[in-house]
Amino acid sequence: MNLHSDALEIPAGTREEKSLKWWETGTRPDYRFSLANERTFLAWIRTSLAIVAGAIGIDQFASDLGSPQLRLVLSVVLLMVGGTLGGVAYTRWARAERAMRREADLPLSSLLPFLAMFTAFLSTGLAWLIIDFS
Amino acid sequence: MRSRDPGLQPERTGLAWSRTGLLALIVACLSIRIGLSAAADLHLIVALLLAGLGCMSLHRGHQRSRYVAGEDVATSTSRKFLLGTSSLVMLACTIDAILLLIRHL
Repeated sequence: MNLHSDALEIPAGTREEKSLKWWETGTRPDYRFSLANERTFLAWIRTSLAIVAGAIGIDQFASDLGSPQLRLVLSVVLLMVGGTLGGVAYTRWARAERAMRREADLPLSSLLPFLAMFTAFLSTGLAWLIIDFS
Repeated sequence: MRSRDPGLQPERTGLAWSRTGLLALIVACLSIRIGLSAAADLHLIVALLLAGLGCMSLHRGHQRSRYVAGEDVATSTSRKFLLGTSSLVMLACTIDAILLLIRHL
C-alpha cells in the first residue's frame, strides 16, 4: 500500500493552477490524513445529529418541562445549532483539505469554544428547569 | 491483494461511517414518532431524508471495509459525498424547525 502522497501534474501557484478548483490544486494529501479529516467530518455530523435528537426529545418526551413556549424555543434553537454544525462540518473539512493540499498549517476554528459554551449553558439551563419545575 | 494498513485507517473510517449511519437511522425513527403522534405528516419527509442519509452512510462504511479486504475502492475522500451528507443534515434541521414553528404558532 502506498503511504506517500502522490504529486499531481500541476504545482501550486502557477497560472494553470488558478483556473482549477481548490480541490484540484496542490498535492494530494497522504490518504491517512485524508481519512482522518473524513472521520473528523463524521464526528461533527454525529454531534449535529445528537443535537437534533435532543431537540426531538424535548419536543416529544418532555411534556412536563417548563412551558410549551419554552420547549418550542429550546427545540428550535437546538435544531438551528444542529443544522449549523451540519454545514460547518463540511466547511471545516474543506478548509483542512485545502490546507493539506497546499502543505499549509491546519486552520484554527472558533467552533470548539462556542460548542463547549453552548453545551455548558444548555446543561445548566436544563438542570435548573428540571429542579425548578419538579 | 493489497497489504493491510497497520493504522487500520480505512477500517476506522468505515466504522465511523457506520456509526453515523446508525445514528441517522435512530433520529429518523424519532422523526417518524413525531410524524405519527402529532399528526404532522410532513415530519415523515424529515424521517425519509434521515433514513436516506443513514442508508448512504452504512453503504459508505461497507465500501471502506471492503478496501481493507483487498478490493480496489479509492481511499481519497469524495467531496460531493460529504457535501451531500452536510446538505441533507442542514435540510432536515431546517424542515424540522419550520414544521415545529408551524405546529405551535
